[in-house]
Amino acid sequence: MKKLLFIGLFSALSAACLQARAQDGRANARVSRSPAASAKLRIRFQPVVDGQALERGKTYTDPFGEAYTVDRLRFYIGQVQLFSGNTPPGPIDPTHSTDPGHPAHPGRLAHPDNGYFLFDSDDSTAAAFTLSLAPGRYDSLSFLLGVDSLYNVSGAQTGALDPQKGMFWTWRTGYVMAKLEGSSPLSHLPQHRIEYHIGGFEGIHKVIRTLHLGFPPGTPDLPGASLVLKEGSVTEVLITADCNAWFRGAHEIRIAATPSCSEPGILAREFSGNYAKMFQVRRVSP
Amino acid sequence: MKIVLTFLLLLAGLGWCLIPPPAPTPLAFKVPKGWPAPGYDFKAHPLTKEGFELGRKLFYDGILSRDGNFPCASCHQPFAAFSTLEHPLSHGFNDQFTTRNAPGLFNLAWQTAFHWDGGVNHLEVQPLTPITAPNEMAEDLGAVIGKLQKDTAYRRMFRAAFGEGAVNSQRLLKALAQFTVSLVSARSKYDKVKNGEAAFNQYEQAGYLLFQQKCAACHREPLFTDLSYRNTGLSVDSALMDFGRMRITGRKEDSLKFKVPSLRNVYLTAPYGHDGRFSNLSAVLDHYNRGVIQSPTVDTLLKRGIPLTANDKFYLISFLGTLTDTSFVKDPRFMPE
Repeated sequence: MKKLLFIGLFSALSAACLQARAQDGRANARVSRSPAASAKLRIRFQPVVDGQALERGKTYTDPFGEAYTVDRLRFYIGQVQLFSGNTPPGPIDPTHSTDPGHPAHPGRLAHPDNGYFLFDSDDSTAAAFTLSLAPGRYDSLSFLLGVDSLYNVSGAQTGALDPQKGMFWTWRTGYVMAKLEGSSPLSHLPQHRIEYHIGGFEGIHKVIRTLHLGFPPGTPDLPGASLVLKEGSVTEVLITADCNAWFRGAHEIRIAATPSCSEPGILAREFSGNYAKMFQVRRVSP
Repeated sequence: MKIVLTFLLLLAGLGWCLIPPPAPTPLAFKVPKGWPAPGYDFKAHPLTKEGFELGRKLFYDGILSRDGNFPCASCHQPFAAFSTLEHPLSHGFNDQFTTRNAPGLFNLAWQTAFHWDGGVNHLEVQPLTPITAPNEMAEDLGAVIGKLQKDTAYRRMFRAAFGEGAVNSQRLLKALAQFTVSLVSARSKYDKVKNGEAAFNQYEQAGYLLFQQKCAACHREPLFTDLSYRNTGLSVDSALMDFGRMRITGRKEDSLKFKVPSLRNVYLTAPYGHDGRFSNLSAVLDHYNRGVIQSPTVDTLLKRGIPLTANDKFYLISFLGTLTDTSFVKDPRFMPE
């Protein structure tokens, strides 16, 4: 009988313990959420080349006829905001806090990991993230492509910004905001590698960009020009990221002449000007 | 009875998860009398006893390096004021050399940029460079975290310092910074003279006057550096091809500029210069006297070098000896356990 009593007591204590730890877990995962945020928006990125889904190792041709393959595409996304109305979104304060726990206004990114998301073409779990938002109609979205300068100057970060993610320069402090790696027969580097690591967070070398994307009207997938988030449901926006955009645009960059970029500077700025145009909203579902 | 004991043991075992770890004990950072306010943001990056102790253990532990042989302290030896004793360049993984002279580590709270070229903008992220450099500790950051997570003592110390949650790189780096930012050297004979607790002898006094006239513009008191970057007219080493700060800023005006090092503990931190080319202080002074190589970026204060007589050199070296802080290099708080 005594024994049974002890077993009973032990079970009760274990249960209490597990509950306490579960609560700890919830406390750690605390995210900023506005009270009205009851709809969910999933933003999924799909890497492509000229509209075709990217396959690792497959040979593609850049706008100048140069063959190349892609092993990895990575980029940081932060400070997602959604906008209603026909007026173009106003300027966004780049120093706006994205600290978890900071009360979010509807449409602000509400996501742990310092509010940053790292897309990684090599990791299927790193293709999408979900925000909690107020239900309603939205006409455009904006996000930061890169990591706000604040997080480049304030010491060790964690979550998506953990230097373990391989997106942090050690010899000169700063995040690699986006990287494209692969190979090309035209590259004169060892193993014909191509490596574009794009960073720079201050002054003339700043490559952080705020991008605005509309929801295109009249496509078969998307009958209206707006995104409608419904209470209690998950809506997914699929955004494609075209690798060929890295080479064309305001600046024509040829692999044969430029197989790598590994530090902030004029070349990194040119790449960022090009790849800022790589995104397109392709589909909204359901 | 046996059952009661078993139960008590189980209860004790459960205690760790029922009772949250006690909050870490705050540790005060003392600014020495008459010193400027530190550049380090102690509000955003507070010190705790547990964080400091974890940082100290990590600093002296080879676990941060690939083969276990290269703790931070292998290049930053306490008896050499946390520089490398008698090595122009330090040794790293697989018999390799570093590319610059290991600086002494002290008074880092007043520095806002690290390395000879100022390329690192926060003390917390500095260790990422030596940990991952193939010629230094040659380790992968993920592998370091993996090793630490497997270690019971470390898991306990991380929990004590930072509470519940995983051992991660942010906590590792914060702990290391709590230790290194606490390394304050402000109890040399010079400091005692300034505080009226000691007096210079006549040679030291003569040297101090010369120092104020000829050196203090860059080696500004009380830190004995103005933390600026300057070209002191050194030739470029053909093996290292090190152009200093230009690599960071990309500006040709910064070619061959390196951070002005503090002269505190200078007797303990030989050899000298960013690549350790000067084996003693006399060689450094000879360079300023007649070895400065003129170039477009050479410092304006060195356009004619710094003329020094043999007596001047003797007096200056006498004075520089007063900057040795024995209580700092022997401080038990900073020693391995």
